[in-house]
Amino acid sequence: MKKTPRTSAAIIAASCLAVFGINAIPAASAADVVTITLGASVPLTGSLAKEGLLTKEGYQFCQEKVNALSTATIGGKQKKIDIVYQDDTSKPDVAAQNLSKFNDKGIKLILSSYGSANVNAQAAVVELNKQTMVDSGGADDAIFNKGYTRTFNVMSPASEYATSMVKAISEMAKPKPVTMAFLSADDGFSKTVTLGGMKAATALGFTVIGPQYFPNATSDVSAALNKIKADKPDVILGSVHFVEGVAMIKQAKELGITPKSFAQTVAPPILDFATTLGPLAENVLGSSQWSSVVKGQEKYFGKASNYASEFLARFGHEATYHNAEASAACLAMVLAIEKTKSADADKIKTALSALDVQSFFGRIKFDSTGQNTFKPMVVIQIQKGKIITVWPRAIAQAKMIWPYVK
Amino acid sequence: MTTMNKGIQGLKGKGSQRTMLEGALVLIVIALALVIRTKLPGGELRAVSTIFMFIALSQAWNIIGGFTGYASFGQVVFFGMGGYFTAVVMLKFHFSFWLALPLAGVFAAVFAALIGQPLLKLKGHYFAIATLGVAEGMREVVINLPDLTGGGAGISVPIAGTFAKTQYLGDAGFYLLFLGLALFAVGIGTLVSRNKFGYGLRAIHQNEDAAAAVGINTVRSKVMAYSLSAFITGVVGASYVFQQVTIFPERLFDVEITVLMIMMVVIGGSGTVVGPLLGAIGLQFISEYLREHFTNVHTFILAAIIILAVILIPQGAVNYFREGRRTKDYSLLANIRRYRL
Repeated sequence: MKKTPRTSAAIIAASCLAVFGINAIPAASAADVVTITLGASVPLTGSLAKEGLLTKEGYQFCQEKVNALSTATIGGKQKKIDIVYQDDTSKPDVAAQNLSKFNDKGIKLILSSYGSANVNAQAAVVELNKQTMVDSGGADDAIFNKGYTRTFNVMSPASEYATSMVKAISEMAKPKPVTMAFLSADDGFSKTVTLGGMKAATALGFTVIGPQYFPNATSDVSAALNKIKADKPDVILGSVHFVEGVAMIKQAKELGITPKSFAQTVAPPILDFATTLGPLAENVLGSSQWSSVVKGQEKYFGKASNYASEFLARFGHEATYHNAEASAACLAMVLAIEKTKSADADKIKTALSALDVQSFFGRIKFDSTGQNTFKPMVVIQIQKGKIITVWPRAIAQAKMIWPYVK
Repeated sequence: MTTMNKGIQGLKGKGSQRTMLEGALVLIVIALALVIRTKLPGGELRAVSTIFMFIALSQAWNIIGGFTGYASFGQVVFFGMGGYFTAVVMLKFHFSFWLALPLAGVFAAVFAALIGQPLLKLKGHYFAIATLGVAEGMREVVINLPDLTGGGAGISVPIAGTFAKTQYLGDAGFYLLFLGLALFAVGIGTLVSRNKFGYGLRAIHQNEDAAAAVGINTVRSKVMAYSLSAFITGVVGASYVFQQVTIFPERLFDVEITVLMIMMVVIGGSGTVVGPLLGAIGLQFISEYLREHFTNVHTFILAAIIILAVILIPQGAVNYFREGRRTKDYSLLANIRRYRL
């Protein structure tokens, strides 16, 4: 075939369409459907990639469930949601920049990144751009004491992470321990957790030791452990991430430190904790935003147990609390959209402020700062290699084993 | 004699013609940048501001790494120190940003002069590793001074309210600020490249002993280059902190920032002024484009591009084209043979 200039132009134009994905032809059913786009900047590479991927799965699961089950309409058209993802490479500046780019494209409804530093940077930009964000990955109270009005966090506040374990030990541990040592990573989130826990421990009559801080993400916490060794605390409560949590259990064993109990935030509910530590992980307490026995249900995910089983079937691994909190954030946004029958960021913001729902994630309701102070956390314990919910009593799967360190 | 005079006058004429051309080019670039500012939305302005930031940072690294030949793998220390200096004086002592900005540069430059005395006696890998150690060490110092720096919990600069001496500049304001810093850094790079001090640095790069033998005070020159480089990096760090509002030591002392500076200089053309400029624009633009359009595989593609660039044009793009123009041979295969085989 002889190529004319017009043929060549057509080929070039077609190639451009193919390469850059320009969709000039609307879908056949577009007239009956209104698609609301949500922006999600999550860490898919970098140091938070693992948690970022779990967050993305949670958002994806929510999108699939909502689009499959929703009968809600907006302006007489069936409502669908579409989540646009960007990788923020685990960096706060990129996380913030991504939201500004979403704003350029008219995307005003945001699902947050993972990590308090990232969400902290995003919250400022959301405020400047008059977007509305539901947060599933930044629980540091510092994000919410700056007077921001457009960021809503479905999770229990950071101060609850240690407090819940202190309360559980106070209620369930027999004989009741006397001394409680606080060890903490030095990032903002972990410090807030520790200060909250110390306050609760003092109020409940424990003798508080510490806090001892160590660098965030370190694999050597022996210096902090050595400082409390002479005090022989009954409980060592670590405000830690996965790496520090694993190091704390291992190094305490090496140093001959044997409290009646270890309690840690964040690390024990991660599936790898028990597999990495093996027998050493047995009976370690942990606090979690969610477990599959949490009470409450709604129309998309049903009960927590439904969420857990359907998530397992969809993604081939057990749902972690990272997955659940991301789905819960997306759910809150969807419910606000359905309530207002609009995608207007200001209206959604108002609807979120008034939202009060018992979901698979527990109660979702926001206080005046945008935090979900109405949802209790759960306390889990590693028992025979499994993550077992032991507190609150009402939903406990088994009794807390106490004391466990011989 | 007459012929020689004519020759000198001819060279002078060519020199002034070149200066005029460059001046006109700078004015066009500034005008274009100002027009772009009015056309781009906020998110894009932020992205372009980042490109300007890396232009300034790569120019700064080029002074010590490109001209002088001392590969500073811990250059981010000046970025972090300039940034933390700004955050602390704005938060604790209520300085305005415009006062904190130059002081941050001076703070970084003085620090560079102090550590430069012992560090610049090291050469090659030893110098690179020592600077890397300084950066890692300073991050730990910042983390372990929580009362002053906020430690691992981070620190926020005041941008509104009674303690804020300087109001937040917004996307358009930071665009202008980083544009100004990029122009400043390119200007400094051009000056260094063409004056006696810069020739001295190049001589040190070629052969330090020979440079000393012909009367160049190598210690003073190296320390001055290091301090100048630190000054630019420090003021860029200060601006970055004001833009980000809340900062954490992990990011301010992130070794990746140094790696990016080095890659931009190496890919663009080390020891030239245009090279780091092109390297910063090219690499940052490609990185941003890939991240936006190839969300799941962008780092893989970027890494492949960088590897290819380093293999095909190890001398950097500018030097490759200069050599190509001189030899009339732009063959990449020949280039690989010349540099690799």
